[in-house]
Amino acid sequence: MAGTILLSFLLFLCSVSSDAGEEAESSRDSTDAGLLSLIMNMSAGDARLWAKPIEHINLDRILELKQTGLITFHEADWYSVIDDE
Amino acid sequence: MMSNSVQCVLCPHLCTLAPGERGRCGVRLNVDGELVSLVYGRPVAANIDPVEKKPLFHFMPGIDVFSIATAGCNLRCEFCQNWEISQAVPEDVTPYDMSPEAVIENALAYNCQAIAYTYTEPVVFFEYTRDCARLARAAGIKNILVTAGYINPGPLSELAEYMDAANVDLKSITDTYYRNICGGTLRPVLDTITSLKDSGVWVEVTNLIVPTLNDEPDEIDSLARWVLDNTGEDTPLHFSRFFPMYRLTDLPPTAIDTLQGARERAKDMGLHYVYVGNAVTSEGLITRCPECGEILIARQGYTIRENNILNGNCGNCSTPIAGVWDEMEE
Repeated sequence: MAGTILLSFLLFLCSVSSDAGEEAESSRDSTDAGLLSLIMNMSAGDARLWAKPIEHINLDRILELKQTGLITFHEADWYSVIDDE
Repeated sequence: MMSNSVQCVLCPHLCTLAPGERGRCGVRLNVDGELVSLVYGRPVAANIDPVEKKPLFHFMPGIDVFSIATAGCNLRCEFCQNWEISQAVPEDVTPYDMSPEAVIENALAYNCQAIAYTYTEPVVFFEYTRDCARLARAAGIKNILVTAGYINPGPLSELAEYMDAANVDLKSITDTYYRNICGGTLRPVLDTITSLKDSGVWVEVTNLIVPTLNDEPDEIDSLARWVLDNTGEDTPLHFSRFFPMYRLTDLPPTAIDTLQGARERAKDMGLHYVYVGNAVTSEGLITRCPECGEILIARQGYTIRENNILNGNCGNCSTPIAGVWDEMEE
């Protein structure tokens, strides 16, 4: 719900920005592009805003723990590699 | 061009992970385009419990169960009773080093007739659960899955092949509750329950009743109705008492009247076996024959005080009683 409201607000900002009339074209384009990018990023993650976040981890620390045996790097099943093309 | 990103399809979150990112479960990490489990063979809990503690009331009553869990969970329930390990990441806890072979050896050494994958969420230690279960099956040991059921159909089917019994936590019958309180969604959980049942796994369902959040009689009745309509009158339903925990320390424990009322209405609706857990009530731990009403199993806490089931039938009127009562019956 919060994500939807924020998204709506950003879309509103975009429309206000687009209607702003005589402001410098390059500045407006830059603002629009920034907002659009933010919206695109939000939309991509929006489906799971209510869930726990995906985390980027400190790989060095994880590798240290792997060396001590406290964690494993056991090959997981049930995943696919994403082909960008 | 490959970005080395991966998508985990184990659970309905379907986490897309760039290298160095781990999923919402906290235990599955993308290392240069390969997804790895950080907790395989590293349980943080290993105990011997009575099967009644799972809770399973219709599966080999009185047996000891070797019970294991690793860190991690794909949900984030605000009432979690095991949050210290379920909401922990592997680097914050100290695990045992216990290979699947060692799990089986321990179960045999302690005369446990079953192994339970429990406490946190066995879905997130999927490979460890499956490999232990495969070895256990070969060794003649039963397998028990205690789960929130937030898993995709493919992996579930792979696990179900080795499972003998499951207790699935149905936290609510509303999707809103799942999203707001648990960080998940309802539909996959319902699908898990019916799928396990269809796979021939003995299934019992638990519902934790949390004051003000899911304790409205209409909501409880809808949940019981779903269990009845989709799994049948013989599926045991356990209403469990909430105690203030984790992020819900400002709520009171569930009122006994609420639990008793839920049980009575679910029985009136047509469910044969409805229990009350985490609370002392007069009938909440008793199994009665649905035909003659005589006491079949009386429990005190997790201890069996009386068992009048003979060869899977009521000792009084010989009505067959749903469940798995001993190895000879299978």
